[in-house]
Amino acid sequence: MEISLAHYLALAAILLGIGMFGVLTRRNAVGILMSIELMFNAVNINLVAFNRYVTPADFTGQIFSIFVIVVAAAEATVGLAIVLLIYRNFRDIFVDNINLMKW
Amino acid sequence: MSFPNVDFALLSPSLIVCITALLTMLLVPFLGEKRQVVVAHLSWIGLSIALFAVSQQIGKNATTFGGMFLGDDFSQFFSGIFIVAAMLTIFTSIDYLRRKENEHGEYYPLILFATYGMMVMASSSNLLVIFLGLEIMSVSLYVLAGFARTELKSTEAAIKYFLLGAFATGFTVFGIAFVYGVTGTFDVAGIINAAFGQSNVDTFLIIGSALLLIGFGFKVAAVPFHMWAPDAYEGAPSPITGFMSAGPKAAAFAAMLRIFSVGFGSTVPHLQTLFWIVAVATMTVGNIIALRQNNIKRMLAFSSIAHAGYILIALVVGTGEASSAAALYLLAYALTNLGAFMVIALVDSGAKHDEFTSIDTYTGLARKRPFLGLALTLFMLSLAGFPPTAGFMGKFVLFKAAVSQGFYVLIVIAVLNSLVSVFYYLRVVVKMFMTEPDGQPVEVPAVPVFLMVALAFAVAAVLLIGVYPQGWFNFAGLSILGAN
Amino acid sequence: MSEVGLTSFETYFPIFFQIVLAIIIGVLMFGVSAMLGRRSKSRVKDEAYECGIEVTTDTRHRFSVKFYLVAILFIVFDLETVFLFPWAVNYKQLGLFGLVEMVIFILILLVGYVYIVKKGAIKWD
Repeated sequence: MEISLAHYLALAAILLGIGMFGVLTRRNAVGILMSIELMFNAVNINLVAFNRYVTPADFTGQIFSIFVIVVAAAEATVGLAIVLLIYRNFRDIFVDNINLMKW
Repeated sequence: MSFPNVDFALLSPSLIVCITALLTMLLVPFLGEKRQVVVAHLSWIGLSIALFAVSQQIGKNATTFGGMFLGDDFSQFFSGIFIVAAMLTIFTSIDYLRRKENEHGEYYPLILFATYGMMVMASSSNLLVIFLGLEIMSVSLYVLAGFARTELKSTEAAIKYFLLGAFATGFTVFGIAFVYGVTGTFDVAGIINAAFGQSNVDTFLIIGSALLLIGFGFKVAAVPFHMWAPDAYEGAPSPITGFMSAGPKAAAFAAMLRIFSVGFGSTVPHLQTLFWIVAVATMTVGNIIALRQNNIKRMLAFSSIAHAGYILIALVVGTGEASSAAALYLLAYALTNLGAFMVIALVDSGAKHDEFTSIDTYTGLARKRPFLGLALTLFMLSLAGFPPTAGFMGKFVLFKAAVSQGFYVLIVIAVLNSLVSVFYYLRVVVKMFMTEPDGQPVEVPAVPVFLMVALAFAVAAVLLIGVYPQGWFNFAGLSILGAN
Repeated sequence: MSEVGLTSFETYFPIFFQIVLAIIIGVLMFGVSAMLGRRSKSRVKDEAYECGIEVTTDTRHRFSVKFYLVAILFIVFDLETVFLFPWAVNYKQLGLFGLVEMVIFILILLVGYVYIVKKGAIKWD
C-alpha cells in the first residue's frame, strides 16, 4: 500500500478531531491544554506533509511548523502559569467550577 | 557572504517598540518595588518615539524582508492606532495600578509586546508573519487579562480568554495549512494568483478560508464565536479591557481586511454571503444582550461585539472605499472606547479590591464631577453614533460605502441596530445626571495628571474626527490604495 | 498535487518484522520465567521494596510549585533552541549573516534569562 498525502491528511484530521473533542469534553484545565496541543500537532503533520508533496523544492511548510511548535510551547507556558494561578485562587482547576461571571 | 538588504527605516516603528519592550522588561527586576513607575514613563517615551517614526514612514509604500514586511500606508495607519491606544492605556494605568496596589513593572513591557505583535500583524500579507504577530499579541494579552493576580475575576478572565483564544489559534493555523496545501505559498498575493481564475475552486481552499474565518472571528468576537468576550472584558483590569477592545480588534480587522477583502473575497464563492450572515448576527446579538447588562464593562463588551458586527460590513462590501471606511471606524472606535475606559478605570480604582463597575455606581456622577460626566457622555454619544462625534463619522462613511454598492437590506438592519444601541448607551448618561441615591455614594478619586492629559486628548480627538473627518478619511483612503 | 511513490510493503517489512520479533522475545521471557520460577507468597513480598528504605509517607505526594516554575521555564528555553537547528545545518551557506542573526536571537533569549534570574525564579530555597 502506498502512503500518500491523503493518509497524512487523514491522520492530521483524526488528531484534530481528538483534540477538539478533548477541548469540548474535558473539564480539567490541564486536560484542555493538552488537547489544544494535540490540535497544534495535527497542524504540524499537515504542514510537513504538504511541504513534502506540494512544494518539495523549498522548506516553507517545515519552517512554519517550527514556528508552530515554538508558539505552542509559549502558549503552553503561559497557559500553565495561568492554571497555577487559578489553582492558587480557586483551589480547583475544573473549569465548570470557575464561573463567577455569568450573564 | 552578503547581507540581505534590509530597509531599517521602514522597520523602525516596530523595532523601536520591540526594543523598548525588551529594555524595559530587563529594567523591571533591577528597580526597587517603589520605583516601578519609571518603567511606565520609559514605555510611553519609547512609544512616542515610535509614533514619530511612523509619521516619517508615511507615503513610502515600500516592502522589505523579501516582501514579508509591508510598510505601506495601511500598516502605518494601523500602527498609529496601536501606538496611540497603548500610550493612552499606559496613561490610564499608572494611577490605576497604584490605587489597586498592583504596581508590577512587567505590565508595561507586556503592553509594548502586545503592541508590537499588532504592528507585525497589520504590516504583512504573509500568513506566517500574520500568525506570528497574532500570537505575540495574544500571549501578552492572556497575561495582561490576568494581571490582577489576587482577584478571582481577573484570573477567571485570563483562563477563559486563554483557553478559547488558544483553541481559536488552532483553527487559524489549520486553515493556513490547508490554504498552503492548495496554493503552495503563504503569501496572500501568491495565494490569489494560484487560486484565481480556476474553474472549480479546490475544496481545501474553501475549508481553509472557513477555518481562517473561524480563527479571526474568535479574535474580533464575532457571533457565534463571541462567548469569551464578556467574561474576559469584565474580569480583566479596566485599562486592559479598554486596550483589548481597541488594539487587538483593530489588528485582527487589519489582518482580515488584508486577507479577505483584498484576497479571498473574489476567489472563494459564498464567502460574501457568509460574512453577511455573520455581520447581521453579530450586531444584533451584541446589541440585544447589551440591553440587559448592569455591569458597565460587560455592557461595553457586548457593545464591542456589536461594533465588530458593523465593521464586518466592510468585509461584506469588499471595496477599497469600504476598507478605508472600516479603518476610520476602527480609529474612531478605539479612541472613543479608550476614553470611556479612562473614566471607568478611574471610578473603578476608587476601591482597592471590589470593583466599582456596576452602572448604578455612576448615579449622580455628572452632578458631582461635571467634567468626568461630560466626557463619559461624549464617549457614550460617540459609541451610539450621534453627530458631531467620531462614532457618527465612522458609521456614516461605512454605511455610505455599503449603500453605494447596493447593500440596502444590510444597512437598514445596521441602522435599526444603532437605534437599539442608543437605549443602553443613554441609560448610563441618564444615570449620571440623576440625583444621588440614598445609599452610600461612591467616592471617585481626583483625576491624576497623566489621566487628565489622556482624557483631554481622547475628547479632543473624538470631537476633531467628528467635526473634521475629511483629512482622516483621506489618510485612511490613501492607506488602502497603497495596500492594493 | 504530485504523488511521490516512496513506500511499499517491502519498505515497512523490516519494521513489521522487528515488532513481531520483539513480541516473541517478550512473551518467551515471561513465559519461561513463569514456568521455571518458584512462587512464594508472604507479607514481605507485598512491600514496596524488598530491600531498601521503608516507605514513610503516601506516594501520591503533592509537588512543590517550584518544580512547575522550573518546568515552565524549561519548556520555553528548550523549545526556543529549535531555531538553532536549521541555522546549524545551514551554517556554511548562511555565513556571517546567519551568525549575526543568531547572536541577536540569543541576546533576546538572554534578556529573558537575566530577567528570570534577577527575579529569583530559579532560586531554590
